Amino acid sequence: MNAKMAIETRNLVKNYGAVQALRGLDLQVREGEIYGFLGPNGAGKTTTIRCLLDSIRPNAGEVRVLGIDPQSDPVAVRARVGYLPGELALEGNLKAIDMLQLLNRFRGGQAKRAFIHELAERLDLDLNVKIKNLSKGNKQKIGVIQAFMHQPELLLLDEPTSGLDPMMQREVHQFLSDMRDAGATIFFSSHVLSEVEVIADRVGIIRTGELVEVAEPSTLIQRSLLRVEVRFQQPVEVHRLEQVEGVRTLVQDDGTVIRMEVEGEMDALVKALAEFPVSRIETELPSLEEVFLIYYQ
Amino acid sequence: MLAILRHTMSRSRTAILAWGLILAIYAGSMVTFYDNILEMSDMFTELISHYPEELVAFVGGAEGITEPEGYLDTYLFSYIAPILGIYAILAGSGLLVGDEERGLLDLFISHPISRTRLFLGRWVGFCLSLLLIVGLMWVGIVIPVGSTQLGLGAIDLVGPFLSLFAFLLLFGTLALLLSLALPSRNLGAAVAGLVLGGGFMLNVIATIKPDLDSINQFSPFAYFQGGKAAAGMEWGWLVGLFAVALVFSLIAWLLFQRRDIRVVGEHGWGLPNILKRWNANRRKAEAT
Repeated sequence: MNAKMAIETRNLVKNYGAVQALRGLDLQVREGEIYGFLGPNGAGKTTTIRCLLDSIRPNAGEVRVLGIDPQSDPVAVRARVGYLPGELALEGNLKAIDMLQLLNRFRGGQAKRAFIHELAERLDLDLNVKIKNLSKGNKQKIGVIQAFMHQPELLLLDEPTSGLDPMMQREVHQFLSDMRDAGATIFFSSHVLSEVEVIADRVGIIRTGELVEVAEPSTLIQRSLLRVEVRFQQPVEVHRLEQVEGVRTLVQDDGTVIRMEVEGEMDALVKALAEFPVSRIETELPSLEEVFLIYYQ
Repeated sequence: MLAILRHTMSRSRTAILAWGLILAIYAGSMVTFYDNILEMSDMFTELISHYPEELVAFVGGAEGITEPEGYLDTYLFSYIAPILGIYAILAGSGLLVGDEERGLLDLFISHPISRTRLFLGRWVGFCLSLLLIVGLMWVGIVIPVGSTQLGLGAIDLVGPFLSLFAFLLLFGTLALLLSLALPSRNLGAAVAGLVLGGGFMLNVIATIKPDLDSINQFSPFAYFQGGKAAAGMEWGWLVGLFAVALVFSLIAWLLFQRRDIRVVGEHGWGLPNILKRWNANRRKAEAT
């Protein structure tokens, strides 16, 4: 196991009866990075996070969190980690501030009261309201505050912006950037691929309990198909373009506008287009969402 | 652990006050009726002699009903034990699994608290709640007892309540253990409730059918002295009840150490989901 990794799992296996949730997951999250963990429901994202916290015990494999084995010393791991569950549950009868103080007591008072209030102010949360009277979004804000309030070295966030409006999502993204700048590592799962694209340094895609891809979001996008639209001065014979390696024609309008998908380098296509009277070329990168879907088709 | 204990106690506050005060008032009022019963002792003995023996057994027996300890047993402890037993079962089964089913345990356990500390904090909190409820009842009796002809002092009354506490602790820890071992809190509480109800009925029937004594000796009711402890404590029985409660607690602690903390919506919630999963697996096997 590598000491420079904030999170490292090797051949991690977790079964729920006959259901294999993790099938030999190898994961490496570097210190100080924001790592987006992508996958559809049931892919094993939450199971992975909960193995890291020793809430559940893997059937096989090795886990290190900040260099510590969570099964040997879970308290040491949790003292340095902030966690936001995907299904956040809170004590409905408590006021937001009382809930946060309760959780802070569980931490031995690691968080400073002033910082809790500062976070609440940034998220526009009234701490003196009973939790049962708060909206889902406001409850999620409490979850975010309790994960950040003790300024942990590592944040494990399961769908952190779930239920938050776009303004608050942006504020949470800013929190994450601030924490990363302060030296923390952030490991978060999300369904909102646009946010992963914006804030993650690296992305891991998990499918049925296995990591199928790890890369920087930009690399992932560039590695995939590029959409190209070419407008010609006069109709052209499409089949000559289709013969170019890595090019697939999608749509043609009377032969003057052709839309294509290009895999890999553009060089061969540009050279092939040189034989035609081209009036305009437009290229478009796919979104991370489209790239993500490729892994699930 | 103190933070967990404090949290457990603050959550139990309402239950402690409600159960404790209501039962204290009830117990106190029953004690004040003793003098009336004593005055009408001949009439009562005559009346009870006409009752069917099953009914007499059901109210804890008529043996020495005009004696202080017999009176307390018949009019107070024979009812209070199964009633408070229900509270102990509900509180015990919800001690950890209640939070787990609400999704709170997943959040709590992500904080720097070991499972042992979490377990101990909850367990001590539960013991203290029982002790406070039983203690309030004891106070409820001690206050008026001096003005009656019961002839028992505060110290004499410690025995019956100690016996009650041990009995409740046993059922509470049984419920705690079952809730951790079985798929859901409800199932754990239901099985513990069956043991409580079954034990009560068995104990009643065994007083009129001595053949059942051999089975009844496995029931906690057989070792619950109740009011009769005021006349002399069966220390062996008391220690036995505490010892079994301790064994249940230790097994529950071991289970809690080893098991996964579940979250809402995860596999393994209750029998209906288990059956659903079993059916899904069966259909999948048939399809292939």
